[in-house]
Amino acid sequence: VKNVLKLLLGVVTSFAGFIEVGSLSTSAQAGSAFGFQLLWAIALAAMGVAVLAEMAGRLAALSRHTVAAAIREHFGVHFYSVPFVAEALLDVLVLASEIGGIAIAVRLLTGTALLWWVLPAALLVWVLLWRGTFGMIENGVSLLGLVSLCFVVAVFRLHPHWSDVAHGLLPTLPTHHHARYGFIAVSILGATISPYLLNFYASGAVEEKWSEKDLVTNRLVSGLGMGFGSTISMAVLVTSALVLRPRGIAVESYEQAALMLTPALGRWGLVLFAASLGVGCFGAALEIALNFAYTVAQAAGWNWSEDLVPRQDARFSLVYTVVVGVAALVILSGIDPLRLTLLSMALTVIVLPIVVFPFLVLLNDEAYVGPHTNTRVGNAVIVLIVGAGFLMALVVVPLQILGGQ
Amino acid sequence: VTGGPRRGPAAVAIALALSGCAPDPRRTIGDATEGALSWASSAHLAVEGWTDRRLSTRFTRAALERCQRGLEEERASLASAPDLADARVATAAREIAEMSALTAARGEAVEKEDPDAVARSAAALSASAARLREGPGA
Repeated sequence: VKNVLKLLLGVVTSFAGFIEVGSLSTSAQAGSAFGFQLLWAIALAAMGVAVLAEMAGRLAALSRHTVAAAIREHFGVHFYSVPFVAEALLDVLVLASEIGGIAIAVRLLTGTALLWWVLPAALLVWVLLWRGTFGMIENGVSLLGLVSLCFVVAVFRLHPHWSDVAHGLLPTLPTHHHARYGFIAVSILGATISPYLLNFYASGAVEEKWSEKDLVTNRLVSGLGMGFGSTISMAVLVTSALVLRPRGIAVESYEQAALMLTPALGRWGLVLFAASLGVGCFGAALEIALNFAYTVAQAAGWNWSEDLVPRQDARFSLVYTVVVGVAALVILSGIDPLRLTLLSMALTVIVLPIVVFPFLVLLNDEAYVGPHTNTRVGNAVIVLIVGAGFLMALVVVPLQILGGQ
Repeated sequence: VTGGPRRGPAAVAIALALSGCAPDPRRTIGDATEGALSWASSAHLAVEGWTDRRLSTRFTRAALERCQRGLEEERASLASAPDLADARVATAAREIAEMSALTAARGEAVEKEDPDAVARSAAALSASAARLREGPGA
């Protein structure tokens, strides 16, 4: 019974923690601009992140190494510095987006200026990191994310034509705005397959002392959790496609996106949208700040654990303190959080091969995972998704910045 | 409508320098028209929610302010276009400026909780949006 409960909790936390600023904004934009046509991108990204999370958990359970520690050990410090710097920069940008997302959620409910809420949001993140434990962060905050199920409820209340929805799972080219279509597809990949998730998932497995007997749990948590989680992203896209697109609204701000739940959920729509955004961003901000500290500590060989009190891993605690402060400053500089989010998500896809391909080498090395090395199919799926996303990003990101259609 | 990183004047200048040619006025107008109509529709949806008491006055006011800012950005993108001398571009810029002013008026009417004034500005905004839709970029 205990194992089943552990498994259920793992699935629910992965599932409920899926929605954050990147997935919410990219799905809302995709639905409003292209209807159901980009559902395939969410499905593809969900498959990629489920496979990668399973690999990260397997590596941690069998080698007791996190992704960062294993890459550093296998390839050496000089090589590791490249993915380390890339991931660290991305973590700061994405963390800034998440803190911005929390502030926007409060702004939607109060009508006050965004900048008033950036420092309180950052402080709240820091206090929970300082005082909380890994279990509290992983389970407590993620469970609150169940509020985002409101998007699934909204879809059923809006009665879509399910055959049209299913058609969106097959990739098709749009009739207009090709560069924008590609940019959003790439951003969806980046929002879902975030490098921080890999190391965070593996660090969590090490914190919880997973071993070979947890491999089945790992497979189910990563597969079911990410799979169900992607249904929430899809529900955001479908709701946006049903409510905003017919009115000719293309989402460019959170005020526009926040309107999508009102027709289906009435006066609760705005509250639930803000709650989903706020809770999702809060959970993601905790995970990213923690992952940043994990990555730095593991690279430097320091003590690291969220379950230790700060004086037992002072440098680890200092790192998340500094990164939360820096990310808050990025948002306070006045940058538009939605644009920062979309750009961060697209840049993630460009950086992804630098982080993922060394990781794949480890998953094919018996010294780390014993007889449980990757199958050819597993390797091929990741190489195809990450490689195709990277090539697409190289084309569409400059095109979109330069105003291509 | 872009929604990703938007084209600032610098990006437009780089794009022009790279392409070595002037932008097509129809495309300039088309982009701005699409963006402006999206903001106008958002304003309608927000006010619809306010009228049905599904959205608070505070949120609706903030949403309308954002829509007005969006319309101003679209107007500014036309104003900074090198082909403003083209009559079609100038007409579209004027229409979007009017939509922006009407959205601001609508926000003030919502603030005063005056449904009649909200309805009047809604009708005027719809008419302006229709002119833009059928106008220079059509």
